[in-house]
Amino acid sequence: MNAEPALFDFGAYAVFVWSAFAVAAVVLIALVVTSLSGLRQRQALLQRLGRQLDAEVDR
Amino acid sequence: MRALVNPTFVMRWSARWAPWLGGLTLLLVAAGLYLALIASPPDYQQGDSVRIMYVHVPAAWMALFCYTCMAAASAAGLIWRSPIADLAAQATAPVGAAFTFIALVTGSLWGKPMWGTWWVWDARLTSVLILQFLYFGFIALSHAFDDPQRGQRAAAVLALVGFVNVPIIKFSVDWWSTLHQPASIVRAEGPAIHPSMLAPLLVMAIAFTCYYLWLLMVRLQSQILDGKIRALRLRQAHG
Repeated sequence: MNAEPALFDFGAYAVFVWSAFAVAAVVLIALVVTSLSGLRQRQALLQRLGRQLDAEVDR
Repeated sequence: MRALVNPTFVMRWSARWAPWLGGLTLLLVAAGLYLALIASPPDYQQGDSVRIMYVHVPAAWMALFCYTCMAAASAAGLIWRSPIADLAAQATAPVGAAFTFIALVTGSLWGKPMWGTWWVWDARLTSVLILQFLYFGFIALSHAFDDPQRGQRAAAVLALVGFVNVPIIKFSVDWWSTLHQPASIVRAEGPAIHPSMLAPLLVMAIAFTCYYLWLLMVRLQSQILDGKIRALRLRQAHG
């Protein structure tokens, strides 16, 4: 009787399969993080510049 | 149609829909990973190494799709002088470059156990490597000038000239003798792949497409804010 293969047991190919998924995950997650943090930084900078300009106009 | 090239409309629309698209991307990636790593069977010849296909093939499709979008947006920017089209091309480039990198690395990781080598200088692999350099060139060129518009124009011309590489990549496996297998999904006779393997492939492809559209919205917002920041700094500098 054949035993059911264990979950996530990819045998001799495991190192290749997991490396491929890991590389994809790292690249895609890094791009999301840099894109979202870049947007937050610009939003904060724009608010700061707007406040500075308002203050200069008030003076 | 006119609203689509209005930065205020694009900004508002992107801010509203980007989080939903992000959520949809996560759900689809989770479903794709379940199908790819748990539900789908090993291949009768390639064993479990076939699971690399569920990342490699959608990433390669997206590398070509993103480049096509980037070239189309570049053409629209050059022909109609649409600033939003230029910004869309710039927002697409890093995403396309990332997918191309993933396609190259995962292809190499699949090639080693199946072909016995990490790399061969055949037509398909070499033309995809050229695609990677085209993306890098586009990104570098668009930031190479003090005047952002000049950079965008130069990069747009590169994107259009480089588009000739897209059909070369697609048909390289038919035109030249290569280690890489020919198309097995998009072909006249229908897909040469079992539904249990086609399902994870398509789910991952849809997930990657949503990922691209999500980041396109996020990065477009950043590009539009860059323009506003530049304008405010100019106002500050001129008192």
